[in-house]
Amino acid sequence: MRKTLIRTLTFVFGLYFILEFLLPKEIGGNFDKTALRAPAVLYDAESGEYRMYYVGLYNRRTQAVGLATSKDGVSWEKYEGNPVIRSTLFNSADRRGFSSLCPIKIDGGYELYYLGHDMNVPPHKTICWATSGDGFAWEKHGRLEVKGEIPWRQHDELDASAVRRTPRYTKLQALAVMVSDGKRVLFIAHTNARGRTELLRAKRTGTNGEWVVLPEPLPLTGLSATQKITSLTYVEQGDAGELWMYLSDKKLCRARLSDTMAVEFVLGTPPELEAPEEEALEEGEKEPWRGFFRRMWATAQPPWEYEEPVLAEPWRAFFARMWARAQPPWEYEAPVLPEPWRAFFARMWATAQPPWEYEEPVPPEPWRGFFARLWATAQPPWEYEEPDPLQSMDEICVFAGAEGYRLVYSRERGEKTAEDEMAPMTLYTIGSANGTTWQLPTQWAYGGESPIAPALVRGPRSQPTYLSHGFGFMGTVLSVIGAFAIGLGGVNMAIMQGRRVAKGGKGVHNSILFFICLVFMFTATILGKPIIDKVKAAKAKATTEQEARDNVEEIRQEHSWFKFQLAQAYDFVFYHVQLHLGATLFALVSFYMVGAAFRSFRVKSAEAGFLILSATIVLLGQIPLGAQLGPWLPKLGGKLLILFNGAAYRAVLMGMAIAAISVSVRLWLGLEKGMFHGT
Amino acid sequence: MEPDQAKPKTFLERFQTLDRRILYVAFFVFVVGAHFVPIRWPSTPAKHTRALYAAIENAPLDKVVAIDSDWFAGIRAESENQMRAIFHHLMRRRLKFVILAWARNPEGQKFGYDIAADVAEEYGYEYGKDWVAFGMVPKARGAELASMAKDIRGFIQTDVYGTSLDDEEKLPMMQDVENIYDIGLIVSFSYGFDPNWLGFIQGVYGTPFGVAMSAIESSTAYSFVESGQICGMLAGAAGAAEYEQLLDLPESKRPARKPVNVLSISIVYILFAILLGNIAYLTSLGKKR
Repeated sequence: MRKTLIRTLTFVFGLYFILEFLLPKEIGGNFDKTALRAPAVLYDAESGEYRMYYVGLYNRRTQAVGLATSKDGVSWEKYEGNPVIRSTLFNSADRRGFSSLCPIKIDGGYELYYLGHDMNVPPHKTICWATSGDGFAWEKHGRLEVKGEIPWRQHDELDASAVRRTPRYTKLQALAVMVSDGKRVLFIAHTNARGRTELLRAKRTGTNGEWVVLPEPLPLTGLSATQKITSLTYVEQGDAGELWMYLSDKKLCRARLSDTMAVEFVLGTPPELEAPEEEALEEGEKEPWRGFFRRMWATAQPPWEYEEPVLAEPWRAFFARMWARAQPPWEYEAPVLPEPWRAFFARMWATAQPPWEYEEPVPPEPWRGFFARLWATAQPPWEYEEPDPLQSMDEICVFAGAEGYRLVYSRERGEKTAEDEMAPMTLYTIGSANGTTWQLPTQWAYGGESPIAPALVRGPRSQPTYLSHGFGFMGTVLSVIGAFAIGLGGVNMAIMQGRRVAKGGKGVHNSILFFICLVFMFTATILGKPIIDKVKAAKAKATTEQEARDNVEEIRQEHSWFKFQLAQAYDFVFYHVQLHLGATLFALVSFYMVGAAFRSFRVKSAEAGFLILSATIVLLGQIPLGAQLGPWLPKLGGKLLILFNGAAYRAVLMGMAIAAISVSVRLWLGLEKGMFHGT
Repeated sequence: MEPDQAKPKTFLERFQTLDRRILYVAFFVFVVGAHFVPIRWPSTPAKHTRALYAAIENAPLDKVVAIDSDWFAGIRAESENQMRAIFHHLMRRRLKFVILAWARNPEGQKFGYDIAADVAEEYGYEYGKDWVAFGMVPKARGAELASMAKDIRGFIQTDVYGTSLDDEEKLPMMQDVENIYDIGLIVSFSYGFDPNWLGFIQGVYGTPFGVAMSAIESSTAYSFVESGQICGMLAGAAGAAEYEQLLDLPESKRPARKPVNVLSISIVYILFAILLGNIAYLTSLGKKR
């Protein structure tokens, strides 16, 4: 019966962990459920529509490229077949995501240049490309082969002195692509070896399709040493081209290219935000809502007692009733709220669900954002800052629209919850006639979250699995079991040493010493450690030595003499005996190594000769002296470690893993009977 | 009596059976002497050392770095300077960090805390606001790591002083740390790295994971460094010296130089012992033939 119970428990626990490990934390959800970033717009003259490619984030490390289309550049619709490009799990070019998308239409087809991410392998970002016949179905070609001076790849070859001079690594920042007379030119923003932003150009040669980096970087007049380029877009305006840059310090800049090869290239002055004029707003549009909520928040005064301006019906009656009777809104008799307000409040009341998680129907912006923020932050509405879109953008793209320029940008929308890996992001768009002043809708002055309707919103979210909820609890259970295992070890040791004491004979004093140490450390840890922790905290908190002494004295007074001495004894034994004994034991190993080196490492066969030779190379290669003997020595040592040792170690690991799986499955299914019989 | 036994032993034969105590005393003299020899061999930062440097350079400022202090007094000569160098880099970049400590290795907590506190003073880092040392928690296998990843504050519960991690007043920094998504980088200091970090954290959540370990165990990590699962590695005292060189620290703040000298001289001594032993062995072998 007991064995059956243990087997069943083993099976159930094992099944739980297997399922928990295999199943994702959440199930379902669109590829762009978390965020939409890195927009890039291409105008397709044939179909007369704008195509926006964007990076959709399922989570930070699972990303894909999506497509949306629009006739006017303002209202966008997602392509049904999204995503159009997925990351490749086993290809380090874009295993961890995408950024800086640059789509172009050329030679009857489409090409997309982008930065592929793999944050685990330097240089982390590389230029990649893909092609398509129709802009919907894409074929990826991996990393773009670029010849010439490629400074962002040189970090592997930096010698020690160069590293000392330039401790920062070079890395790619953003890309833009231009088509001029049927030729492609790639603008590459990167951090150079001196840590400054540099703008390079790469040209595709006509004959064999190779990309070559031009040696001279474009002059970036006006860019400071700390500014980095977050987004880069090429916009063709008449005869001249423009490069739009969004900088790391949230500045939007424009550079005019009077010549495609940039004879005059100077950063333009930052465009300004044109706020709607106050008189354009009617008084009733701002108030009474803003004032109403402000007063309700500040005074906790029943709304029906407000003086003018008050809300019109049915709002006045609605809030008055909600305030007075705490009655669910859907039970109200007439006058009732119009939809979607009625449903909105009904749901908020009934489910206590954050408003930003509502499905349709939801109130339009800015109300949706307003309630979302009120819910999430419990912040008084009048303290809300008006977010400046030009200051709150994450990544941008500019394109030539019907009315002049149009800017698409990503920015945070809604609050990051504990379950979210990152703050959710959505794409917005605003327009400008001249690219200098950007027109914002008049309802900007309402407050709350951005009143600009999102151009594209995130896809449906995923749902947590049932197993996810229990995992934290299971972790605690395992911790407790682990703690018991430590105790069990102590009990076993005590039983074994107790038998030796009972039997007596040679070495019995060691067993007696074991019991003395065990009892002493057990008592000192239980009684003394909390006091020592208090003493340390008091010392850390004190600003002067006298204060520290006073604090310690206070703690001494709180406890008995015995307990305090025990605490100090614990501290002494742990830090001045155990630590040094540990170090001493380890130091002794080096003496054994010397003895073994002299007596045992003998060249008794060819294999032993190879072993000693490779050990010598590896040992010398790992110390500075080896580099002094010759630069080839560390390199050869590294090769031995990585190639030969790496291959052998991987083989051993694989063998161990297969054996572990085999044993685990037997244990799990109750086939390994030894453990249940205690044999 | 056999005739061979009566034959007196040659010098080489006697050399082969040299009293090990002589070897030990000579070794001791070399090691102690190396402390007083002012050698300054320049270190050439290895590729994996530079990769760890790059990982910290790329660590996001809006997340915290988790330092897994899982080492003990026996490898203090290696791990202490590695940790000191990494703390210099973290604080130079104004990255916030937490120090993890495990009950199986209580010494790691003390070392991690002491070194961090020492370096923090220089950079004006404030405990609770810029860095926090966690209290010890049991750790058996990956399940604990997986559990911690989902709820850091719930799993760890208290800091080194026993203060609750939910205490907004004393540990304001921790209020922004919920789960593994708030960790931008993990650097594990240990004798030999724990592969559970790869199986349950790096592989599942993609959090960059770097290691700083003893030189003797570093050979087990090269495969993972090459595959990109480990984003960078410091191998032994030499790794610490290389990192100090990358940071371009002033001479007075390069404590790893001395252990590297001692290490170099010890290795030369061991190689010399192997060489002498083999010369004696091969020569006596030739004579026997």
